[in-house]
Amino acid sequence: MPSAIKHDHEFSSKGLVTILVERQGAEQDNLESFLWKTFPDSECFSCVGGSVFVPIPESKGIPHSGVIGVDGTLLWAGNPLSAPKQIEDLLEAELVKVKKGWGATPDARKVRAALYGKGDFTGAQAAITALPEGEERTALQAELDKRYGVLKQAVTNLRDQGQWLAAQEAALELQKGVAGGKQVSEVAALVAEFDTDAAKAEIAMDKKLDKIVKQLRDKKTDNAKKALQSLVKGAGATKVGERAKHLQMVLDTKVE
Amino acid sequence: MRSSPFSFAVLLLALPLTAQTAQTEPAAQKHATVGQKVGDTQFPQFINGDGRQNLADFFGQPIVIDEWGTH
Repeated sequence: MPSAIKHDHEFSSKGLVTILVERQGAEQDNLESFLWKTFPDSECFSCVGGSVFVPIPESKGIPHSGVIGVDGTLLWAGNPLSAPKQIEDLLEAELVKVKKGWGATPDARKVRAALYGKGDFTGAQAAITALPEGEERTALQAELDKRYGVLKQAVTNLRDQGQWLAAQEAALELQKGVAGGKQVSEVAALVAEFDTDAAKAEIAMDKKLDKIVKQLRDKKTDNAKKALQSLVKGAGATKVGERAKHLQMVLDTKVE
Repeated sequence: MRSSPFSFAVLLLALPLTAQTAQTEPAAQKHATVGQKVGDTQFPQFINGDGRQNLADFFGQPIVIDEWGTH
């Protein structure tokens, strides 16, 4: 677990996704409380996992990990404590693929380097359009469309979760990636949704909550709790306010 | 109903994480072994993250799945 968090810190900005699945029956609020109290610096995707199906080899023991490559291939599975160097080497090699692209042909590598390495949808689309009709072009086009849909949906998800700053950042990043491309007007409309009075209020509040979260991650818990109490009082009926109230409840939850 | 070229393309891609298992059994119920493509699965709502819950939505990024316990 700490090694997974360490890898996440080291590699998430380059594209690594770390998913922590709790396997001993913790409930959602309890898990969240546990994470804040034990691993406050964890920003991994974390979930309860009593009955969750995880498509890597089964294990009767924990910790148990799987490393999945950029193309969805299982590269390694086992006890993460048994092979730290191997895991790190695999991750570094996969992150090179994110940056430089992968695939059987130079064209596939070029498209994927633009798409996943740079988030450059317009560049990826130009490279796809230059390909002759055929299976490769069809598959890469579907990949691009899927990726665009996922990242666009993520903006909405983040906003719904009360993470307005992250949502705005994701929207602006997407706008950069589609500059000059066919999705420009669609993404411009998405970005414009952050320019309303209500959105500005959410963003202003999220800036305050962001500072509090940073304090929590730095283990300045008492200061953070006081600031959170004050924020919640003035939060009104906002998404960020809901998130702040939830955080307050979680921090007050006793870990069982 | 006719399917459009777009929907065909999406189906053809079939989320690469699921492509290897789709014909034989539900992808979400097969444990991959090393060297195989991993089937899709949906996780419960994550703490942190950007709202993505399906493994296939992370295609193009390396993934570490860590099963652990709080006790």
